[in-house]
Amino acid sequence: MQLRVLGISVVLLLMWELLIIIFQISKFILPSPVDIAITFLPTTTNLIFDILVTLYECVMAIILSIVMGALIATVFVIKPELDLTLTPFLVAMKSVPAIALAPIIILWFGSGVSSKIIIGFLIAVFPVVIVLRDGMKRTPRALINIMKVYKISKFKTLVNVVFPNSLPYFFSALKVAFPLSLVGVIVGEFMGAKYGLGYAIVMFMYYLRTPQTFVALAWISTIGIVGYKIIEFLEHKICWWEHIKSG
Amino acid sequence: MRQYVIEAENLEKKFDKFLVFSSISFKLKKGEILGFLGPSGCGKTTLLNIIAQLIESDGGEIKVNGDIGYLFQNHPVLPWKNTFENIAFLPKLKNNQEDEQKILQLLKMMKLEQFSQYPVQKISGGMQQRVSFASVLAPILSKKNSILLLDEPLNGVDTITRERIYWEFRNILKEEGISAILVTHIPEDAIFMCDKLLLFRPSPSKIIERIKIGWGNKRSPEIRISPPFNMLANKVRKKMYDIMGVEKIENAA
Repeated sequence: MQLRVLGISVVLLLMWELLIIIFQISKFILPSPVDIAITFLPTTTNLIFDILVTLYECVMAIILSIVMGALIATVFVIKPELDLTLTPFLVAMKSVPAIALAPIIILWFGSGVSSKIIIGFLIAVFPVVIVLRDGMKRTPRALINIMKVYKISKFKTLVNVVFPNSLPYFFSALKVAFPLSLVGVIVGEFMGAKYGLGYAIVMFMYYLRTPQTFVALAWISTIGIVGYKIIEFLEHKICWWEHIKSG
Repeated sequence: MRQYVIEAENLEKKFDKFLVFSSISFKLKKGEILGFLGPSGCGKTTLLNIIAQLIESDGGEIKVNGDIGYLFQNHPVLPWKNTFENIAFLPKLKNNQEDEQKILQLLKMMKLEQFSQYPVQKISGGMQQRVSFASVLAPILSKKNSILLLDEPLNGVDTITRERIYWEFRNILKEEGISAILVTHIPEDAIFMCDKLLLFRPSPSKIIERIKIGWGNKRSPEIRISPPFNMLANKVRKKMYDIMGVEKIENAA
């Protein structure tokens, strides 16, 4: 499988390189893979701090989304009337594109890391709340009833039955939320920042340093892929029962 | 005189304006296994839910004197726990402690000792049914008055395995002196498992006959192929045909 992915990547890069040669496209418009490879190491050395800043903002945004999302989803499950009242507000919030929200957040929270974390959080928290709430609600009725029959408290039921049962949903939410938080952070950096990969892209494009822009893009993509793989690894470790064959 | 663990008098239940059942009265003696037999949709599960206090009746009175256990239809196992942990789950939550000896005793009773540390998905469907049975039995085992409610517990299990497991269930209930109510629509299972049967008719549901099964505790799967057993099963089946109306059955077919 990994060999197949590698093979497809090599073929795509070759096609890219060939297209540049055939149509003689300027490297300011579209640099070739070789142009990008040449500048990769020096640009990465210059970008290390920006990569770390974006990574930090993204990780903080996703942690905030998980904590707040899980909290809100739990409250919605315990108090369904709050779910009915507040979910329209969440949907309204989600309907506003992040790009439209970013300038206001930066105005309120400044151009430092906190505004990027908040933008990333605002985009990522919605799927966490919705998927986790639905996952918790899908706890088999019989499991909830059995707890009632044996007079086990609602709190114990939540911790010992509802939470473990919704763990696979939690990881599904995370897989959607992580790339979204990355998008939020980058958009925030585009709008106003002093560091970060989004800021670096804006600066590179200002000086038409297109190959360097592609290096920054490659790093954004790497953060996305590595983050997703870490979530997948944790899911396999924690939700082991989802991946074993039945007897 | 033997003590009653459940006494129900004139129970009535409505869903909105639809009358599910009325005038349901019965008593369950300590250590007795009672069967609710009747076609689907005649409120047998609703009646169990009233006994378990999951829902309230709209009329009548019910007295429950004992600790209730409930094995639901399609009872779920906890996939994130192994066989041992599944059985120990409810006692641990209820009493904040794990009585290991009791769990080991249940594993032995259910012939699950060698699968104790297996993830539950790794064991067969029949074994999972045994795990469910043991898990709901664990918190009420060795209590003074234990009552187990069984709602068509072996749906989807093949006939021979089902007969075998019912036999094991019955032996354990009798050995431990646990009172039980079995809900089923299969006359042979009801006759095999129970000491007494209540035959229900639907829309609105009513008890139309009370049948005493006279074979005491000497039961084994072989009894199912004996002529007296089949004569009784046919008699009960004939009554069910009468309840449903043979034309209704033909139309349904």
